[in-house]
Amino acid sequence: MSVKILRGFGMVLQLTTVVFGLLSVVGLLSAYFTSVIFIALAKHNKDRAPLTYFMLKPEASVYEIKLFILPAVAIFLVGVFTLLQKLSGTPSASNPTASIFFYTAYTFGLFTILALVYVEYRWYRHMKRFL
Amino acid sequence: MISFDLFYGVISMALNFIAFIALLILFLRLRVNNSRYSVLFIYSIFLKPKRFTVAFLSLFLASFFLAVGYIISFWISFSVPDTPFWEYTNILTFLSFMLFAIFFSGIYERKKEDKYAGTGSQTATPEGPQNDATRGGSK
Repeated sequence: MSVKILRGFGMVLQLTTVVFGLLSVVGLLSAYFTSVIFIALAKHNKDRAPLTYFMLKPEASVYEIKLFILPAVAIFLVGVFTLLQKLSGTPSASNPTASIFFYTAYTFGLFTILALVYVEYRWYRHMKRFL
Repeated sequence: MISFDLFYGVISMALNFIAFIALLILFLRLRVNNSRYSVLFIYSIFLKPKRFTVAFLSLFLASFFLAVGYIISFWISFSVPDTPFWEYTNILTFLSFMLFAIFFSGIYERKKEDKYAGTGSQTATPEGPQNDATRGGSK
C-alpha cells in the first residue's frame, strides 16, 4: 500500500517515507529525554537527589506518574488495530477494511509517541538539573 | 508455519495489552489523592531507586529501537516503499515498553505489601500532618 503525495525533482515522495521521517525525529527526541532521565537517576543512585522532588511534592508527582496512562491507552489501541489489520488481510484499494485499520494503527502509533514525548519532557524538566 | 505478518499482529497485541494493563492498574491505584497506596508508591520509588532506574533504562531502549528502526526504514523507503523492516524493530520497542510498564508500576511487588498490610494492628496509614501541610501550602 503506497500513497504518492508529491512528485518532483525526479523522485516520488511516499506517505510512508514522510511518516517514517517524522517518527525517526520524534524517536530521537524521545531517546534524548529518556537518556537524560536515566543518567540523572543512575548518577544519583546513592543520594537520590532527583527523587527528592517526588518526596517533597507528593500530589504533583502522583500527577506526573498518572500521565503515563495516555501513551498506555494509545499503545493498547495500536496493538488492537494491528491485530485487526493482520487478520483482515493486506491493505489495498480493493480491501478498504484493512486499509482503515492500517491507517488507524498508524495514527494511534503517532499519538503514542507524541504523548510519550510530552510526558518524558515533563520528567526531563525536573531531571536535567541533576546531570 | 505462521506467517510473519500474523505473528507480528499477535505479538504486538499481547505485549501492548500487558503494558496497558500494568499502567492502568497503577493509574487506578493512584486515582485517589493522598490514599495509602499513592503515598506508599512514592515512598517506594524513593527507597528503591534501582527499580525506577531500570524502568527508565528500558524506556530509553524502547525509544532507541524506535528511532533506529524508523531511520533505517526511512532510508529504505526511498527505493522500497513497502518495507517491513520497522515491524522487526517495533517488536523490540513493544517488548522494552512492556518491561518499562512492569518495572515502573511494580505490579509484581504488590502481593508482599498486601500481606503485610493485612496482618493486623500495624496498618497505620502514612498520611497525616505532612500531607496536610503540603496541601495547605499549595493553596
